[in-house]
Amino acid sequence: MNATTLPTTPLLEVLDLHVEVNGKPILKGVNLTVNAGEVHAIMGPNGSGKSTLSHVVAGKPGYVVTGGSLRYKGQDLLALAPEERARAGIFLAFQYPLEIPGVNNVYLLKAALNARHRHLGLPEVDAFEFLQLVKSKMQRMQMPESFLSRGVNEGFSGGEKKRNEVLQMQVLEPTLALLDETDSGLDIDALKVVSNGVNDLRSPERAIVMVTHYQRLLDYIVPDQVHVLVDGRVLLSGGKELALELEQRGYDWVRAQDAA
Amino acid sequence: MSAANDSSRVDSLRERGLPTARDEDWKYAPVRVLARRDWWALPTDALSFPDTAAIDAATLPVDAPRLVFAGGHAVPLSAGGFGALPAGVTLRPLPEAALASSAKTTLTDTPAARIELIAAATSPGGWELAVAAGVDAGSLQLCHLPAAGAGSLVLRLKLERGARLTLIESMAGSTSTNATLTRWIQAKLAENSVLTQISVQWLPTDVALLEQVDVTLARDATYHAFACTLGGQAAHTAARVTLEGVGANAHWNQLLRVAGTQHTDSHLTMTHAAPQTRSTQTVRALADGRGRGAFSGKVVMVEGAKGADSAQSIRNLLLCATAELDTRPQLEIHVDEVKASHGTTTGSLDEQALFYLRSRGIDEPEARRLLTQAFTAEVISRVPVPALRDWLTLRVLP
Amino acid sequence: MNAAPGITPTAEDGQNALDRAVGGTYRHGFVTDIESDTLPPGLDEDVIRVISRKKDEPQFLLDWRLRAFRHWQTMQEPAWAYVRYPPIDFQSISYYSAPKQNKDGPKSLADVDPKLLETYDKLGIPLHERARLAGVAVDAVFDSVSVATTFKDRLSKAGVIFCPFSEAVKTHPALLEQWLGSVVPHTDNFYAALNSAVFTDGSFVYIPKGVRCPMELSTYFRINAANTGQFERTLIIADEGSHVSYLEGCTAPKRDENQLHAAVVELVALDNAEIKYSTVQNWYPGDENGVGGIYNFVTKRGDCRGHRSKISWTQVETGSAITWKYPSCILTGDDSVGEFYSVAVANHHQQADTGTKMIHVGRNTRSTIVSKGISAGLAQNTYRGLVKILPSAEGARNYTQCDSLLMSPTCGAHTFPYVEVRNPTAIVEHEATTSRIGEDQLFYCLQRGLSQEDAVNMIVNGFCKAVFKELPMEFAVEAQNLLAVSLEGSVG
Repeated sequence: MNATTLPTTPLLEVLDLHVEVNGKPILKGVNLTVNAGEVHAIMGPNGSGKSTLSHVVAGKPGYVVTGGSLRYKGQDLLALAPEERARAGIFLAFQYPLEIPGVNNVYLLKAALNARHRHLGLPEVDAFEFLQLVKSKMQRMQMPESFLSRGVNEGFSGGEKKRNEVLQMQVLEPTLALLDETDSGLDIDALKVVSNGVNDLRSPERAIVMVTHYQRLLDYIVPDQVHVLVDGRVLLSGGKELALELEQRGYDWVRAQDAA
Repeated sequence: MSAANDSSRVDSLRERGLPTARDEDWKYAPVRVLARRDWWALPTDALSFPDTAAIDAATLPVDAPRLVFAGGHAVPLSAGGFGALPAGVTLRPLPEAALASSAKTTLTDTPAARIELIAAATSPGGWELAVAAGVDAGSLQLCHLPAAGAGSLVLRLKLERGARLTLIESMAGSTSTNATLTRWIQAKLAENSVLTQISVQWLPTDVALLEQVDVTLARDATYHAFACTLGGQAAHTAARVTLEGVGANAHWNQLLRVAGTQHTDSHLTMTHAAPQTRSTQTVRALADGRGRGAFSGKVVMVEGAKGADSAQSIRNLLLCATAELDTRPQLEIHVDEVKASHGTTTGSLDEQALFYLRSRGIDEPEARRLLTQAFTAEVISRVPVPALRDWLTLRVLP
Repeated sequence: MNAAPGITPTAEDGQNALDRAVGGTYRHGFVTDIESDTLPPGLDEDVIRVISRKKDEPQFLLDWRLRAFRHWQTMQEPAWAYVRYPPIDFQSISYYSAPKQNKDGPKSLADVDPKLLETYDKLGIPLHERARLAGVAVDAVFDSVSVATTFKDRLSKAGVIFCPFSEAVKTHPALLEQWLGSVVPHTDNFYAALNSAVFTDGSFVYIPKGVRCPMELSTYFRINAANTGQFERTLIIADEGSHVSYLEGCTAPKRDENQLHAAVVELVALDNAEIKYSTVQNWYPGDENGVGGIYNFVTKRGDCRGHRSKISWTQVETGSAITWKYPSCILTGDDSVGEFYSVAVANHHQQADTGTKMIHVGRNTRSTIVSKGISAGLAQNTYRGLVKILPSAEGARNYTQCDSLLMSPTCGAHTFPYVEVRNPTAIVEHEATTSRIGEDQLFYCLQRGLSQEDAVNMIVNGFCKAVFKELPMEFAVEAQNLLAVSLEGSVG
C-alpha cells in the first residue's frame, strides 16, 4: 500500500494510552497508529494488555482510561457508547464469544445490520435479501443451517463460536475489525476457514487489528505491521518478519532490547 | 344458593381474618394490603354483570369457545346459555351438598384451608366443568372478571379417562375500584387424561386476588400449567399438584412480573405420591419499580414414590434497585431411589451479554429489552398457543 | 462380601451390609463417676442468683441474666423446625453441675482429677502429651466448668486471651461487658434467651490487633452428669487484622433420658480479621430405637463487623438426637466474607434441622454455603438456610450448593432455603440435588474388589470432600472416622 494515496487522518490513533482495571494499571502508555488498508498484528505474553487494548477500543465497561487519547477517523472514541462505536464501523471479534440463549442469532445479526444502516442513512435490509446474504456467508464460513434457529452462540463449540464471530463480521462489513485471539482454540481446518473469512474483508478502506499469541495465524492472515506489547507498552514494532523473530527468540529478548 | 344460610359462618370466618406473616406460608404475602380488603362479602341480588365491551376487553386473543364468570357467577353470553361448549364438555352447577362437603374436608386451620373456607362460604354456588372420557375437547377460554357483589368462584374440573383439554384462563377487567377476586379451582385428571392450563392474570393494578388451585393426577395423566402472573395490586396464589397415579407427569411453568407497587406471593406444592412420577417446575420472575414478588416452590416425595423425578429451575431478574424478589425452593424427600434437584439464581441482566449486544451496534435500552425478552422466553416459548406468545411478550416487557 | 463365588450379590445382601454398617454403636458412652456439685432441678430467679453467686459474677452480668430470664418467660419454643419431640419440662432440668474440686481449682494438669483425664483419654482428646505434640491448646469443659487450660504461656506471650468464660468474667470484665450479647442478644430466640439466663461456663477468646494466633485453639465439651442441661457460652473477638482458628468437639455419655444442650457462640471479626470456627459434633444420638440422646439447640452467629473481615464456619454433625443449629454470618463490613461448610449425618431416629443464615449488609460482601446432608435409617435431615441481600449490599454475591444423599427407603432429606434479594447488583445462586447413593458408583467400586462398606465409605467421603477439605488436618481425619462409624451398615 502506498502511504501517499491515503487520507491524512489515520483510522485508529492511540496516543500514550493509560488504562486501569480495578485500580490496577494495565496499559501504561500505548502508542499505535492504524491507517485504512492496513493489517496489524499485536503480539505479547499473557497479561501484557493485548485484550485490554481491544476492549478499550470497543468501549467495554470496567476499564478506566487515566491518560492519553483514542481517536477513530479523528474523532474522540472515548466520548462514544459501545453501540455508537459499532455503528461507526468498529467491530470486535471476542476472544470468548458469549452465549446468549433466547436471543436468536439471525435476529441479532439483522438488528445489528439495520443499526449500522440507519447510522449510514441507508434503508433497512429486506428480509428476504438479508436471509440470502446470511446464508451465503454461512456457506463461506462452513456453518450448519441449524445455526439460523439457535440462540446467539448457544451450545456452540469453541470453534463454532469463533466462526460465528467472523460470520457477523462478514455481514456487518466493519471499517475497523479487532480480532481478539480469534485463532485460539481452533484446529487447523477451522483456522483456514476463519482466516479466509477475515482475508475476504481486506480492502483499501478497511483496517484489521489482530491480537494473537501465536505466529501461526500470521501465516494465514499476513500483517503489514507487527507490534509487541509487553507490560502495557508497545516495546517493538516491525514488519511481518518480526513475528518470526519473536517465535525464535521469545519475549524476554524484547524486554532485553528495551532495557538496553 | 347457599349464601343466606352461611352468614353466621361467614361472620366467624371474618372474625378469624386472613393468615398473617407469622404463618410460614404467608411469610412473603402482602398481608397488609390483603387484610384491608373485604373477602367475606356475600353475593348480593343487586349483582350487575359486566357488559359485552368489558368482557371483550378481558378476553385473550385466542380462537376458542368462551365461558365467562363474574365473581362466582357464570355470565349468560347468549339467550340459550353460557356460551357454546365443545362437544363432550359440560358445565353444570355443583350440587350444594358437594360445595358444602368440599369446605368441610378441610378440618385443620392451615392458611390454605382458610382460603378454601372463604371461597366456599362466599360462593353463590360452585360449578363443575367436565370433559367426557376419550374426548379431545380442544381449547376453551374461561374469562374470570371481578364483579361487585358476585362472590367467589368455586370450580371443579373433571377430565375423564383419556380426555384432553386446553383451558385458557383470563383473569382481567373490573367493574369497580379496589375489587377483589377469590378463586378455588379443583381439577381431577383421570387416567391418561391431559390438561393444559394456561392462566393469565392481568387484572387491573388495584385488584386483590386470593387463589387456591388443587390438581390431582391419576395414572399416566399429564398436566401442563402455564401461570402468567402479571397484574393485580396484591395477590396470594397457591397451587397444590398431587401426582397420585403411577407414571403421572406435571410440568409447571410460571412467569411472574411485578412493577409499580405490585406485590405477588405465589406458591406451588408438587407432591409425588406414586412411583415413577415426574415433574418439572420452571419459574421466571421479574421485578421492576417498587414491586415485590415471591415464589415458594415445594417438592414433596412421599414414602413409596420410588423412581420419582423432579427438576426445578427458578430464575429471578431484578430490574431496579427498589424491587425485591424472594424465593423458597424446597425439597421434602421421604424416599430413596428418587431424583430431585433445584436451582435458583437472582440477579440483574448479564453485563457481559449487554456489552456483546452493544458492541454489535444495538443501543442499550434495546439490548436490555432483548435480554429481558430472552429471559422470559424460557417460559413463553413453551406456551402451546402461538397467538398468546407474542401477546405475553408484549405485556411482560418493561 | 460373603456371597458365594459366581453369585451376584443381591440387594438383600447389600441391605444387610448396610445395616451392619449403620448399626455402629456409640463409642463414647461411658459415665465418669465423680462427685458433682449440682443444683436441684428447677428454674427461677433465685436459681439464676445462685449460679451468678457461685461464679462470683459482677452485678452487670447478674442483671443481664435476669433480663434474659424475664424475656425468656414471655417467649414460646420455636415450632417451625422439621423436628418432633415431646414437650420439654424446663423445671425438671438442673441448671448447674460442677465437678467437686479442690477449693482453688486445678492449677495444672497434675491437679486435675485423674478420672477426668482418663475420660478425655478415652475420647482421644489431645489434652496431655498429645496436646503438646499436636500443638493444640485445650480448654476442656466438663459439665459447665473448665478444668484445665494448656498452652496459656505461649498464648499470653502473643497477647491472646483464651480462658474459661467464668475466668474472663473476673479477669476481663470490661471486654465481656462490651461484647457479650452484641451478636446474639439476650432476646434473640427462645434457647439463646434461656442460655443467657443460665449459662455456666464456656470459652472466651480475644485476639489482639494484628496477631495471628500461634496455634489452633480447641475446646472439648462433654455432658457428663445425668439430668443436667449444658448451657455453655463462647465469645470470640478477633481485633483488627488478627487471625484465629478455633476447634470445637463434643461428645456425651449414653443415657436413656434426653438431655438438653442449648449453647450460644458469638464471634466478632473487626477490620481485616479472620475467624475460622470448626465443629465436630458427636453428642450421643440415642440408640437404634430412638431412646435417649442429646437435644442440641444451639445458636451460633458471627458478625463480620469490620471491612474485609472473614468468618468461616465448618461443621461435621454426626451426633445428637435432635439438632437445631444455624451457624450464621452477618456481613456488615464492606468486602467481608462469610462461609458455611457443613456435613450433617442423621441415622436411626436422629433428626437434624441445620443450616445457616448469610445476611449481606455491606458492599461487595461474599458468602459461600456448601451443605452435604446424609440420611439413613429412619432419620430426618433438613437443610434450612437464609440468604438475605439488603438494599445496601451493593455487588453482593452468594453461592449455595446443597446436596442430600439418601441411604435408606425410610429416611427423609429436606431442603428449605430462603432467598431474599433487595439489591439488583447482587448475584445469588442456589443449587440443590437429592439422590440415592449412586448404584453405578457402588457397582464400579465393588467390581474393582472393594467391600460394600469400603465402597460406601469411599463414596460418602467423596460426597463430603468439599467440606472436609475445609477442616484442619487432625479434625478431617476424625471427621472421616466418625462418618464411617455413624453410617456403619447403612447402605443397601
